[in-house]
Amino acid sequence: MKRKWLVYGIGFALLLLLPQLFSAQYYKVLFNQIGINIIMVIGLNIVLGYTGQVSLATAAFFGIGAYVSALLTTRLGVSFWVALPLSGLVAATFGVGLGIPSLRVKGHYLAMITIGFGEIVRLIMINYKTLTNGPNGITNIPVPQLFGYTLDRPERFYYLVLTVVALVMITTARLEVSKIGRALKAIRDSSTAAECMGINTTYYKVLAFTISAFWMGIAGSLYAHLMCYISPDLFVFSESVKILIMLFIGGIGTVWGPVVGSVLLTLLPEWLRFMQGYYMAIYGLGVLIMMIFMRGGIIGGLSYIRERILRRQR
Amino acid sequence: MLLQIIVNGLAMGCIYTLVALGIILIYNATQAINFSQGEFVMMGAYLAIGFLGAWKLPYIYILILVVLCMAVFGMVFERIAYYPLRKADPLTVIISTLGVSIFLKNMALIVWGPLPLFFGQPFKGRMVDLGFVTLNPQHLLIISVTVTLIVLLYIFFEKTPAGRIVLATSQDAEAAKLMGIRTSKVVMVVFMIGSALGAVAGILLAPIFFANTEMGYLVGMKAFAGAIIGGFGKIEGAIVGCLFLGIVEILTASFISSVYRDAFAFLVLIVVLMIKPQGFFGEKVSEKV
Repeated sequence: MKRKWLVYGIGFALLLLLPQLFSAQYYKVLFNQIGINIIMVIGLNIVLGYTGQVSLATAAFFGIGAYVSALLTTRLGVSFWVALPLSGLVAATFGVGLGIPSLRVKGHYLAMITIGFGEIVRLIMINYKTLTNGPNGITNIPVPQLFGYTLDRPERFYYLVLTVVALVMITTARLEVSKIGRALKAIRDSSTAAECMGINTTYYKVLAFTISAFWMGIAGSLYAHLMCYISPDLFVFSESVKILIMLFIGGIGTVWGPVVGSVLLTLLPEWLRFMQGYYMAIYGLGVLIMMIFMRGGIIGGLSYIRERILRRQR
Repeated sequence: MLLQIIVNGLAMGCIYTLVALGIILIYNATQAINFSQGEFVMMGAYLAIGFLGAWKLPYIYILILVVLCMAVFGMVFERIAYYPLRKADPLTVIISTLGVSIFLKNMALIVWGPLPLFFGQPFKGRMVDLGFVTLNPQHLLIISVTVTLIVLLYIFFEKTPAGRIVLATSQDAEAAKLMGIRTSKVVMVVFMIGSALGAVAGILLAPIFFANTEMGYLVGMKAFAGAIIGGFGKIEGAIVGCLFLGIVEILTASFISSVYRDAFAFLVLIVVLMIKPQGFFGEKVSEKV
């Protein structure tokens, strides 16, 4: 137990030093990107990994969060610290809305509804020009200020992202072992059986969608203020797919899977960039190969190997 | 005018139907959804343009050539993206087909470049004038090819031994295996048919739309939506759902708002599913604990 905390402590200290270890500005932006992806993958894990409800609307919630935060700060002059939780709450409200169909519709039908919802949100972003400024997007999104300290550089922004990621991870880890987490997993394994055991499946399914959308909205707000610019072409279906693939490669339904998946799949395309046009094609092939040889993702594969070693020792 | 619009909608509906039939045949045989189906459409269109540029053959030869190529491709696709994962969770197969979809889209980008390509018009831009209405012959071609293919598929499934084997596998793979059917071969054939159907949709669509790397995504999603509206897994459901979607789409574009055309299509999907969660033809299946 003690050793576990020591490992966590050292790990966290290393994370604090991370922006100092790399001098390239490019890597510092990338670290922020990884953090934001982790938040979204964890959000998806709550709904898909723990509750077993297929959601492909990640990009929509991410976009809603980003737009709410960007519009509040640029149009109404609201402070970032107010806009951040508000963007999560607005996304969560939409999450309740999307959670309600999940009560009547399952599996592929639900997947299609979430895809449709994402597409509708994207089309509104492009066409409702008076609100969203259409395809040009929103520019000059202000950088957050903290105690007179401007988070205008990626290495400063990194600490904000790191804090939120830590918060999301701790609450999700607590959630998983709580009554709520057990209820969600019971619904995943069998919705009918869970209902027979007296679990209010209606409440918990909608709750899972709500929590998930909240974190995705928060991620969107962070992204908007990191980049200072957003446009509708960021919030497309392929973005949802990217997050889904991160979850599967890392290990679905695990605590560390989202972290491993996000780190690896955010860095991998960057490392493959020297291949120019081919890098996305290689990425697609890589996903296929990973799925064939490591079905439980990296975390699933590691725990399988660990079990084999433990069995041999016995 | 209205008739013209409806024929236009039916033609789009037919394109979605062809793609949706591929998705459903594969789904019935494997319980997995092929998210690369839209990319098959894109490949069909690009291959047609490629062959046309290379040999200047008539449209019909191009069609046959591309269908043959794509049938072989479907076989390879099955061996790589489905076969190793046949015992895994259906969600895993979705991820592997998404991986292939990313691969195909980006390979097309490398080979054919980012600019949309124009196929040319097989009918030289002539219109069919029936006196009371003027129609685009390409729309009529789309509708007639789709009807022919559906009839052929019907005859294949209902009247030929090979088709019955495929049908038996898609109804109950385990039982089919016990009856001595080599289901893995059957699944391969189903992927060949699915891939060929997608390619036909692509070739038919190429003269109306410009071929581009994004075309597969929207067509694939609409086909999926149409199949869902009809009741997923049902062939008659897919036909009705896709035609319905095609007409709703064109009516929205003509009378309400052309920019929100796709949004309305998906809105209709959500509304239909909220009223009838199993779609038009879907059966209510009670869940086993």
